[in-house]
Amino acid sequence: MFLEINNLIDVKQTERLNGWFAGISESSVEGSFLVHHFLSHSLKTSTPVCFVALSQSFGHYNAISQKFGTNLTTQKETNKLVFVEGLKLLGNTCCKDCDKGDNPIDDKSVLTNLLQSISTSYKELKEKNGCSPTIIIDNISVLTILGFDTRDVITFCHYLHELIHEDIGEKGCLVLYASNGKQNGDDQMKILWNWMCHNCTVTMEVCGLATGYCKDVHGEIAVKHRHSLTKPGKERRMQYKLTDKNIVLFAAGMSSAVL
Amino acid sequence: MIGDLAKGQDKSNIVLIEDSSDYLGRGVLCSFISSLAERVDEVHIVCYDGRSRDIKSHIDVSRCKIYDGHSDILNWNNTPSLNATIDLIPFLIEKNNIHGNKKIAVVIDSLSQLILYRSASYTCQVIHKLAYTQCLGCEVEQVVCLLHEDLHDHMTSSLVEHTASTIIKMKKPSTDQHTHGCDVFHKKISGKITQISENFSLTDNFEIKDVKEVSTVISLQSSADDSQVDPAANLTFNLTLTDKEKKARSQVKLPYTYDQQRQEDTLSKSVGEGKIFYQPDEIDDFDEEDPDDDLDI
Repeated sequence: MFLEINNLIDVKQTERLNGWFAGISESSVEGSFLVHHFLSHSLKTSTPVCFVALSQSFGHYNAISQKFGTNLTTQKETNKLVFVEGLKLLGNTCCKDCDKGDNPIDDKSVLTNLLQSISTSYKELKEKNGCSPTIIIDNISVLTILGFDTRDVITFCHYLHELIHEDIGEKGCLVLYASNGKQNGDDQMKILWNWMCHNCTVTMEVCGLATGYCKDVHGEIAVKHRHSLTKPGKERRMQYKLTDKNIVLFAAGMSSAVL
Repeated sequence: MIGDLAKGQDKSNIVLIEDSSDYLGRGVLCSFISSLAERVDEVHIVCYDGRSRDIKSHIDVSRCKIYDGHSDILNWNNTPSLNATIDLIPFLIEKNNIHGNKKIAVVIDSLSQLILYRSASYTCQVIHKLAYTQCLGCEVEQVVCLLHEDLHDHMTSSLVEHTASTIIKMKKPSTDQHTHGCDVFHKKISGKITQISENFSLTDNFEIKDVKEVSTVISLQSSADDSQVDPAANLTFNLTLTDKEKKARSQVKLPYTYDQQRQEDTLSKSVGEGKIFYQPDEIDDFDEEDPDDDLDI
């Protein structure tokens, strides 16, 4: 958990992110450190997490979480965490569909299956822990890359959004990580990211420096709150440097290496 | 203009609010809903967008009927509620018993879902039918729709724009004093078309205030400032002259101009040849750059 990131998004260290729909996007640099941040923040505020991995294995997340002082295996055993191996699940559904005969694979049934298992895990976590869990998906763009229609991916995200708002009272939290397509000019990814911008309560865009690679400044983060209907959210833009266990944020051009 | 449209002082059958992820239009939609709730007997709000639940939590909807079309948008959960696959007009007729004397308004948040799951032409048909054909069994005062323009291609949004009688496009305000900016394109019933760019602010009660027209002159100037790039800058060769060079150039004697010394030189050198010397008149507008300017060639 990065203290500085919490300060940037105006969240107290012990605050639960009920009702949040956070969208994280990356272009040209890796933004997954924010996914790890939300994972460890949720677990440290004793919010159960349903983590859907579409790009890395459990071992990867466990190794990184241990740097933050969280053991994911223990969290799994104490019913605080459900780890959904999305790719395996997608693969199994596809294979099952193939075995049935020569029917082409139905995108909708594959995604509804994935949604179903997330929904089941979410409800189980909620029941066992008595509070609304956080759903984190790393990385939703994988679905687009796999060839799912953007419309279906949007529908999938829409249903996840509905899932965290399902009950009256305490809402859950949804964190989606995606590539925004700005770097490679992928229109489908841009549409998906625009859809997220319209629906998220907060968006965080991570991008590389326009001037290219720098040893001491790794990139920029732009955070925008989108709660208010009457006032447009102000964008806060900071540059950052990642170290082994921490992140240093500074205003543009104010890196200690530059000054 | 936008204030008058929201208050209903300027009549319009179909109002389309186009927004993008940076400049959201749901606030303006709420402003229309609040005003419609005071003017008409019933406001029917069709919610397809996930964030449209914000409307309920932000404004008084006691005089509105809200249809939840977002919680099971493609009927994946098999719930009986409205979804994008159900035809909207028969659904509204079935759910309501509307008689001829009522005045109603329909609000759709947002059309993007209908376009995504049905088609642009279907969406246009629906809003056109709602506004003009009395298909609900009574007069529809106004249809107000939100459209997330950056989720569709240009063709789709222009198709919907043609159906609408007023288009409000959200954009960045040109001054810091205002929170919102928009371009309004209003087709009056008389056929007159008004196009205007305005800045405004929204209060917490969704009232539109401080409406200020952005004069086109200012916008033209600002765009001219942006586009005015000196093409002669950063060249590897020199296109301009210094004062010294200009002075030197003015002292160069052109071969055919009258000059005492040159005349004498030539006369002394050549014998038996005719010579032409050009001596400009005082009123002559002699152009050094183009001496043949006065010839009609």
